[in-house]
Amino acid sequence: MSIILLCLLGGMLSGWMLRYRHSLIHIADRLTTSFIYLFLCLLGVTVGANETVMENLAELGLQALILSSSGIIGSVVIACLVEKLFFKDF
Amino acid sequence: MKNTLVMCGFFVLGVFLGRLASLPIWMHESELMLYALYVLLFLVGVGVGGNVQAFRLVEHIHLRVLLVPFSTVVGTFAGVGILAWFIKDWELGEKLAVGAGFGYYSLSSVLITQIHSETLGVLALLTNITREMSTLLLTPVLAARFGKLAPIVSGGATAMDTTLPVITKYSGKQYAIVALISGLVLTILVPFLVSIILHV
Repeated sequence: MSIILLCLLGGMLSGWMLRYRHSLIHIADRLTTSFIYLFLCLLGVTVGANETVMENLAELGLQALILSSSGIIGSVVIACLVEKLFFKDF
Repeated sequence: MKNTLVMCGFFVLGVFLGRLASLPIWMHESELMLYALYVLLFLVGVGVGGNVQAFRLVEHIHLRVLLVPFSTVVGTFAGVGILAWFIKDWELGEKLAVGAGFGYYSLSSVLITQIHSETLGVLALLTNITREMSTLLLTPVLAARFGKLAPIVSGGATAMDTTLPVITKYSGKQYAIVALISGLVLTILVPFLVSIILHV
C-alpha cells in the first residue's frame, strides 16, 4: 500500500512543481491514457484466460448492477439531505 | 462516451486474446505489471498535481461544496454496506473497495486486480462502468426528482469529465463547478481509499 501511495504522492508533487510546463503535463496525460488502455487490455487477457472468471461473468454482472445501484441510491439519499440543509440558497 | 467505448474495446479485445491463445507468462503474472502500475499511479499523480485549472477552482470554493464529494463517499459506503448486504460472495471490505471506485473504473479495476484479485478487479470494472452509464442515462430523472446535486453524487469521480456535460445540462450551469470540484476530490480519493480499504 505504502509504495502505491508514495507513487501517487510523488506524482502529485512532481506535477505541482511542473504545473506551468504545459507540454510535459500534456505528455503525462497522454501516457496515462495509453497505460490505462494497455492495462485494460491485459486485464482482459487475464480474464479471458481465467476459466473461473469466465464461468461467473453473468453472476459478476448481476453483482455489479446491484453494487452500482446501491452506491447511487445511498449517495442520492445523502445528497437530498445535504441539498435541503446546506444548498437551499445556492 | 467515446472514450468509454474505446476503453471497453481494449478490454474486450484482451478477453478475446486471452481466449484464443496462451500469452507469454510475463504479460499477466510478473513483477513487471506491478512496476507498470507504480508508473501509472505516478502519471495519474502528475496529471492531478499539474492541473492548474483545477487548483484555480479550489481557490474560490465554499467549504460546503466539499459536502458533495463527502456525501458521495458516505452514501456509497452506506448504500453498498446496507443495500448489498445479501451478496455473500464477498466480504464487506471487498464490496466497499469496489464501491470506492466511484465510477473511476479504469484506475480502480487495475488497482484492485493488482492488490487483490482478477475476479474482484473485473467486478470493480463492471460496477464502475455501470455507475457511469447509469448516471448518463438517469441524470434527467435524478435532477428532476431528487435535486440538482443528485446527478453529481451519482456520477462520482466521473462528474469532472465524462458525465459533466449531461450534469451541466440538467442540473444547470452553476452546478458545473460543483461537479468539477466533487469529481476532482473523488478522483484523488479513489486510489487512497481503495488501497487503504483492501489492506485493513
